Amino acid sequence: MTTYSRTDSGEETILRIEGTLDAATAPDLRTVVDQIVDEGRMNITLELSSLRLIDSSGVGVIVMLFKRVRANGGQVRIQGLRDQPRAIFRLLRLDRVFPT
Amino acid sequence: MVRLSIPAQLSFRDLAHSAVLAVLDAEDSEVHPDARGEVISALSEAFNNVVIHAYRGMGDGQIELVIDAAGGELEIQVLDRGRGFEIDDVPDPDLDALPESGMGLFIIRSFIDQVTYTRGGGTAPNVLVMRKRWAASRGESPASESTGATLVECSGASPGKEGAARTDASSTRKETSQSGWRMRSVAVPIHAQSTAGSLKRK
Repeated sequence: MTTYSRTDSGEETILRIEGTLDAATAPDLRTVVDQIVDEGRMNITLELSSLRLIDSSGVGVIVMLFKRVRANGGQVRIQGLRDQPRAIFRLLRLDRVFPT
Repeated sequence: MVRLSIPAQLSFRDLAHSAVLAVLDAEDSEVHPDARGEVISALSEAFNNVVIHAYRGMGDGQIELVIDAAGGELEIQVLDRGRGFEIDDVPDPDLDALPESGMGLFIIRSFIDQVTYTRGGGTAPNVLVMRKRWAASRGESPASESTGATLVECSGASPGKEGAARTDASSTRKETSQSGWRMRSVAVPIHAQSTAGSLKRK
């Protein structure tokens, strides 16, 4: 099960993802990403301290968010990464891409 | 050993996870969480590949899992009767290009010590075999009927369990050099790779 909660505060958007972000749930996040980008949000923080499991499909959506926001001149930060998701981010060298 | 056949649907992936972790825990209840995470990561990608690629457009299919753990080694066989592929033809992703897909096999290759894939045909299924070793967590040495690789076993400032998660020499050296653990080499078995398209951890 995956839960998304979005909080907008001024120019910053905090997107909290809980549970599992995988091939089954990534399409739902893609919809959330589309909304965030379409609204021109520029300062995004992904709060992942309650993310239990991520696979390459989930990573793909986060990378897509990063690319689209960066193309608009914004930035995406990662917060709270740990355990299996952190290992995946390190393996894919994304820990060098995202400010944490 | 556990055998199960489950529908090739993403909603059943957690069942595969549970089965593998149950076998792992039955063999050694103290496997480090990092090693467990690596196994689950690899299994997730293998499962995804079958559901998303092998059975694409083919209707309902089944995934068969054969899971075994002994002597500090976990073996997971993933069998399907969908479309096969040539594993040696799948390149590693260009991570600098920030790919949004094509990372699954790279994750498997990176987290699993030994990966073999045999493309099926006729009545024979495609078979992916993943073998993951971990150092014994209670001071037991893995079985050593044959040798071919060196595993670095750690002891000292941190509990043995901490070092147990690292199952290849290079990554263990990295951790031990930072922590100052003592290291010694022990022989671990390497099973014969009898199938085409075999890969060892890079």
